[in-house]
Amino acid sequence: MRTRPPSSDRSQAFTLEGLTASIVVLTAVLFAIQSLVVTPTTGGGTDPAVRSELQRQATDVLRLTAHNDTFDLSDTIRYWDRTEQTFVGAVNPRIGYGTRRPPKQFGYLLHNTFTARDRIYNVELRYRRQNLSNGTASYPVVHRGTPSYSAVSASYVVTLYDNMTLVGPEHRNVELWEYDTNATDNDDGYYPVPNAVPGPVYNVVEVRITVW
Amino acid sequence: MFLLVTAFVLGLFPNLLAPFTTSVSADEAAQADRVARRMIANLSMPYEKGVLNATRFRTVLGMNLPSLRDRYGLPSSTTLNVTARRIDTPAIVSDHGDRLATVAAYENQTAASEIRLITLHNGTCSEGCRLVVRTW
Repeated sequence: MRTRPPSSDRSQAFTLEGLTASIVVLTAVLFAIQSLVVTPTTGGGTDPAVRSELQRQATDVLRLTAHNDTFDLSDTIRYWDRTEQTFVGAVNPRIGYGTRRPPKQFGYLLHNTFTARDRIYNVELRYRRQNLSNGTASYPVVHRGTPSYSAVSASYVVTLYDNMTLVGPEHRNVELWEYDTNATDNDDGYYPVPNAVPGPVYNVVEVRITVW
Repeated sequence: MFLLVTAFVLGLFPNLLAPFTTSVSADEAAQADRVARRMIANLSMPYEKGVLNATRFRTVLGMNLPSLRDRYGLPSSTTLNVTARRIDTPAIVSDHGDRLATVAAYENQTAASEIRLITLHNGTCSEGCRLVVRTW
């Protein structure tokens, strides 16, 4: 049997080697395929469809609150605590309600629409300064941090009139035009939104929700 | 031998051979968005967008599937499910004894969904409900 080629035993080893090598190569190919980022929209937070849905929901929150018969959006931004010099139930003037829930339907909708679904939101008021040429200023209602780059925002404009009053539990029948915007002089009440317009309109306030 | 090896490697990763799960197409997402938008635009009370007229809302939800497709311009291959759900739980809301849901039941199909916030003019959902539109 010496006529048989000497390589016959080694061929089995070659076969096994080939098998192992192909497993390695194919596994590498599979790994590469599965780690591909297929679309730029893979991350849920940055998906354009998710973002536009969030924006529509934020608009819905503002709109529904604005149509509330008993406590609308205008009441929400006039729900003011005279002694704490911030909104009723808020943490402090710097972060507004912070991690607390804003009052009534506004807070209920925001909580169940965004917080309950692991979204974070800020709410701020943007209003005209006393001197119109100074543009707009903003005041935080809910400040929960700096929005991420994929944040969306929605806003609703509320007009305040001179003869409206604040609606906090200890409010007196003092109309808005009698308040001033100086927080430290202790004379009359303080409310951050100034009387920007001569005439019956007090100020035009944009309520802006930013969600991310 | 090569075929054997290929089969073995694929066997290591069985989910590679699994049929592709049909993902939600952009068409369906746009349809759900459009249906929700038009429902809110058409059924709202005057000057109160988002506050739906409960009677008309119930009428629309009571339509059968072909009429709904007709009303919202959907192709005959599309199925539509519209429900009004509580905002804090997924429970479907009832108004005057009617469940606020369309006939075609949603049974965990892969569907595009659009969620909007609504309330009804007669006091149902006074704190707000979710209008959930699903198309598949």
